[in-house]
Amino acid sequence: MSGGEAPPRAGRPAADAADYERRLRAGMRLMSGKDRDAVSREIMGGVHAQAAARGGGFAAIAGDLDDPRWVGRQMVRVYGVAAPWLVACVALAVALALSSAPGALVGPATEGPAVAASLAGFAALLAVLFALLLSGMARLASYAAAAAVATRLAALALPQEGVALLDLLSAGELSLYLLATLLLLVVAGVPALALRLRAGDD
Amino acid sequence: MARKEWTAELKKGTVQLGILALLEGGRRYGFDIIGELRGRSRGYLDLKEGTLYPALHRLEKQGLLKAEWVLDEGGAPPRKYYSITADGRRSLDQARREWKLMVDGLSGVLTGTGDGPERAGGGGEPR
Repeated sequence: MSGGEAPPRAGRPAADAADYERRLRAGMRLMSGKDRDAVSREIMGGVHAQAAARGGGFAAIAGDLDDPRWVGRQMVRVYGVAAPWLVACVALAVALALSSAPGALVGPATEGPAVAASLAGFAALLAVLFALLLSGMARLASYAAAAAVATRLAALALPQEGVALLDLLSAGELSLYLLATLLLLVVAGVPALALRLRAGDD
Repeated sequence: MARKEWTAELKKGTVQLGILALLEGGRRYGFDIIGELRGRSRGYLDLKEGTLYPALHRLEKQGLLKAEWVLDEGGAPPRKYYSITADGRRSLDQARREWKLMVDGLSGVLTGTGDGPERAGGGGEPR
């Protein structure tokens, strides 16, 4: 066993094998369909074999099984996230990073509404990165963070009424902007590195 | 640290070693591996599906195991059999050597019979 989170406390056991499989596949929804089918077939084969060996059908083993959603998430950590999810996640990070640049959504950049909108975008971006990390998808979080950092840096050149954001911000505001951008790397990059060192991330 | 946490920490790392050692004797499928590991370890390695299958798939991705779907006779659904690769055998040999070094070293610490340089030299007292 390499790293990884501990199994969660046993919740409501699956009602039957179909319920178990449905929850297992839900836990693996971020995987490619081909991998999901193969893993599901293998694990369900084991579950059926265990039930047959016990002689009481699925009900006899239901309480002994791990939470199927958690099992599915463990498999996502082995197989990684499928390309469409990866693209969607990075695209979301880019969109939120862009919205976190003052003036990108609401202008002008130096006024209250623009600052409030950018703070909201930044908070949402942090929330997404934390959610990915808490789900054990450290590598995906680091990709999203890298894309967000690149977007925020590129946004400095974004013209607003003919003037680049870089020229609109004071030295103090620019420092704060760059510091917050660096924070994204710390938030997602450091835990990703730590999880990789512990082995067994996505 | 509670007993449960001790057990979990000790079991980490031993699962992959146990799987490789078991498959050295021939190919097996998931449920079969669970039963054999439980029996041979006298119940210590009592794995559930959430631990076994990720470990098997990780070992397969690392090239230490290979897998093939086999259609058993009698109309039973196909089963995925795992067998150890040449890299797996090399890794197992290395792990066995490490395991022996660790057990020998730790037993000296746990029983207080170790005679490391600190003890032999009369040192080891906190300063």
